Amino acid sequence: MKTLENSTTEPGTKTPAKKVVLFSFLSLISSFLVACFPLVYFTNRNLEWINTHDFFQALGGVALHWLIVIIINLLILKDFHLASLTTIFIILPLSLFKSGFAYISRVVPAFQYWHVLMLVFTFYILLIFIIKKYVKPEVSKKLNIIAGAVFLMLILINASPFISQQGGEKRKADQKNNALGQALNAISPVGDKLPNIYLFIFDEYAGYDGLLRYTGFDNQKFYDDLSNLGFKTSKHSLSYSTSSNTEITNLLNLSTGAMKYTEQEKNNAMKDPFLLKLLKEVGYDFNLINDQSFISTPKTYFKHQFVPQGYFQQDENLLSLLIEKSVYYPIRTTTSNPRMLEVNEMFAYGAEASTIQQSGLFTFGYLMFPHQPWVVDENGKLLDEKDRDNFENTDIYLGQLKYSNKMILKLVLEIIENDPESCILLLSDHGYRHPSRLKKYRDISMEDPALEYLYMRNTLNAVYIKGEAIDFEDYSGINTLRLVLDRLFSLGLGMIEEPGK
Amino acid sequence: MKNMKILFVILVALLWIALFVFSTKIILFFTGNTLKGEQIDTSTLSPDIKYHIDRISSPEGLLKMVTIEGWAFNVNYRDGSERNVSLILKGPALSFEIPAKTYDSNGIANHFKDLKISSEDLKFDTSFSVLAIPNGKYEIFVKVWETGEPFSMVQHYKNYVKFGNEFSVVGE
Repeated sequence: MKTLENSTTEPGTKTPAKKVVLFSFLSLISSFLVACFPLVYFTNRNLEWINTHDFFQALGGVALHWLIVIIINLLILKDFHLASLTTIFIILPLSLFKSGFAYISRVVPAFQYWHVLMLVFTFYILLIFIIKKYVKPEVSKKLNIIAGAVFLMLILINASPFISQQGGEKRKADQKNNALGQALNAISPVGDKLPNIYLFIFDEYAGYDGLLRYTGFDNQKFYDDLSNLGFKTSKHSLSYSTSSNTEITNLLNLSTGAMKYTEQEKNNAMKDPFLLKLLKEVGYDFNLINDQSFISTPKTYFKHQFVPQGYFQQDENLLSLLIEKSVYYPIRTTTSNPRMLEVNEMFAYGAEASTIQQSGLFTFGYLMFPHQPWVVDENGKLLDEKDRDNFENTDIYLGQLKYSNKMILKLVLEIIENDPESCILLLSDHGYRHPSRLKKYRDISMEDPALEYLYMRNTLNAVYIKGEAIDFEDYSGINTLRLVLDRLFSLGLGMIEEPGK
Repeated sequence: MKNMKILFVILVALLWIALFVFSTKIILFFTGNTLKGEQIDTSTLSPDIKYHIDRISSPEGLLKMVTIEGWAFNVNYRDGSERNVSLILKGPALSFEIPAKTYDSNGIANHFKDLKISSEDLKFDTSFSVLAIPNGKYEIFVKVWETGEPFSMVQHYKNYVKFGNEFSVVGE
């Protein structure tokens, strides 16, 4: 390769080898920065949904994509600067293909994926031809560095909210450890047999008040049905946050610490969460239903585990989003049928969990349902693809929620039949976030954001504890969990401050 | 030599244009989604067909596939016969026949127990690419028959319009 051939220091050579290597490296870095721009841009736009694990996986995907493109270009052009320049020109059309396609097909509706693919491919061939024939490595080197500087600026501008969040105040882990120590000292299991515990979190299942406010639907019958099965329900419970990352980290740590955590800290707090540590000490085994692989707690924690989808089928991760925007989007399956299969499998696995072992099993199910994608109506009929993300029509969400009512009742009925001496908690991480979607995607502002925030935090909260009465009213999910654990093991956890109203 | 080069470039450009223009047809052919337009007589409809179309999906995926699911049978079906269903899309100029896969259904058979119909091949589903049919208004006919016997058909009460990548009910 030309650059490598020139990289030895020879008498009379104007450019020292180190300088050549440095500029080759800068050229490569420039093209990598261009490749990283969509990642940073979409991270910035979806900051509240993305955790560090997501980000680094996506970065790995972007790096691999860049590496493949640059190697192909190097093989064709045999020069680092020219290969970097070609990569700079082609990587964005590949990464943002779908946006370009959407624009072109608005202008020319007959254009399909393969038409735009042919245009991009032709552009690439012409680019290679022009760069190889007319652009000198020296010129290319300068162009690369200019492009790298421009994209570095763009990346820094887009990354500033992320950096400031990461640079926030660091929390001390000691507080948590002290709390664990106190709780473990207080453990006194009631009876010899550890009842199986089932904790299901249904993402975005609206509480009674929020559902009534945003859809006009009175969900009383569902609460009555749960009561008839022996559940104690709470219609006015609130979560501490509308962010799943925050609330689930809080729930698994029985605290509100995650409210102040950076994404990295939340991720760390999920590695060895307080709730699981506590139950492990008590003697529980763990069983996980991990929709979207959302729960980042290490697999080694769990004796049994069910992950309903492969990585590319996940709806909520950054890499999937980047693939969705890129030329590779056809590899993602977005039809309703596979998603409903996953949902059915998760509910079926949840019910089967009641047959795994007679005691001492803690089943934790995170189900991204009735959260979007909205794939099913109240009768279980699959929705059209166009309604999958139709956040404007509240009936679409409501249909999926009504169907989830049926699924939840069937699930708990089966568990109670198989395992009547168990404890079942049905929670949601937050309520229906209709106003915040309107704000985010349509810039429709809320008249009273504080009030809407309250309704958006109104959650599902229902507890079955061996069919016995339990007294709680409008507790948060965290306090309900603490109450149940105190009731089962006399831990003396007590209550924490309820979410602000 | 220069002329040869120019000729080569022109040939490549022409080939590229041909590929570009016919790429949809080529893709449909290689994925087995080509539909053959023909004149189909739909004037004789049978009152003996019971049917329901449960779902006609929106066009999905790269090929804009529309899935149609439902059930259909002729009340005069004989027990143990092999039954077939196909759907006919009757457009402004040509009609397109789309064969459907059939499935047994005890539920449908039970629902129509007075007709003493056996459960074989009562449900159906099929799919087609909207890219394979020209723009225009389409009537949908459900065609059913026992293998080796004449067919009968019924017209679905909703008409559809295909425009671009969309396939939607007329009036919606």
